[in-house]
Amino acid sequence: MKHLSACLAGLLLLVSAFPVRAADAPPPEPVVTNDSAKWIPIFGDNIWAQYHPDWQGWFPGGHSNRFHQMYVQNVWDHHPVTKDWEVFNKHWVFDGEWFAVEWFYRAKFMDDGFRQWESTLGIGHLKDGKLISWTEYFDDEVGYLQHLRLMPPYDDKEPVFPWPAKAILKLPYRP
Amino acid sequence: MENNTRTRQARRRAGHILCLGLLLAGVGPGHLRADPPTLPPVAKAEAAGIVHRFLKCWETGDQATFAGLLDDKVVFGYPGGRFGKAELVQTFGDYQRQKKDIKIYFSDFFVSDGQRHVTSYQFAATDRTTGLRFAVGTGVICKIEGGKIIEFKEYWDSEVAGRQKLGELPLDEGQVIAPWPSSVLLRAEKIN
Repeated sequence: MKHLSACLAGLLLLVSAFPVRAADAPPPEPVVTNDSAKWIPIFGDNIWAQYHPDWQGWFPGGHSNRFHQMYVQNVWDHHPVTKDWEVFNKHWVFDGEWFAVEWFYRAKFMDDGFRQWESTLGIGHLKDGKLISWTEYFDDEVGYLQHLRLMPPYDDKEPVFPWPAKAILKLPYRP
Repeated sequence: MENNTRTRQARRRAGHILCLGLLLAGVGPGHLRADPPTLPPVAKAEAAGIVHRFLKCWETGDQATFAGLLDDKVVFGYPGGRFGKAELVQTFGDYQRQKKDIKIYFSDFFVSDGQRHVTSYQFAATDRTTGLRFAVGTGVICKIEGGKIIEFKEYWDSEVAGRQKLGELPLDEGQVIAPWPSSVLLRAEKIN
């Protein structure tokens, strides 16, 4: 009897550990957070699946949305110009549903193998547990000038700045 | 030749833009954390007040307030170079003589973890000599200590102002604060 009670108790424990969901029951709620300090580590490797339906992206070159971005991506896939993309030395700022990240970007041109090295400031906004807004600020002239050998790359241990510290060429402020 | 250059620029830009997945992909949790604090924390409202007052000086021409908000050892980085305090204040004074109708438009967010403070704004001005106007969206990340700015980095695309002056891009002044004029859609044909 004692043995049977123990078996029943074990069975109940097993059943409670693996509840059976009725066919018409709603699916389990996904984890939803607008706290960027939690959201980035959870969804950081699956960003494209985490776009809010009303996502807007703002870039040097113009703005985009989810559908337009698929079109842009498709065009790019058929005409890639650079490869071996690297995004590194990232510095995050988490502030509730907003976050920012500053980083270095390197990529190699497929035609001549030249490697450009630029910096970027990105700003993101979360809503309903998804990325609803993403903005990137960078100066695309950096890579262009590097390609023309008019600007050096950043040094390996240099902090992220809009232009490399050793840039000899200078431009006046907002001419 | 010019078209080829622009196409090439757009292609480079696309590579940059399409790497958002790469930004967040394939990195361990250690790379997804904020940097450890190195400065005394600054309250978000205080930081926003300092940054907004500092930037608004471009519009008002208030050089004393502008200089007063800068630490003596400030590093100011922008697409074009870096300034220390003396050079930046000198630039501020010169700029007021070269440009007119300077307007500063702030975005409606301010991001801060107490160590680093991030916002964006649009800087618009008219050249006194040519009468040509530009309005460029700018991203800012800065550090503040003891009520003074110790590091201020501005990011913008230096192609925008020149093309606005040539009439190739709209101004879209005072609208959505964005890296390019907000009415411009990222054009696929520029990537081909």
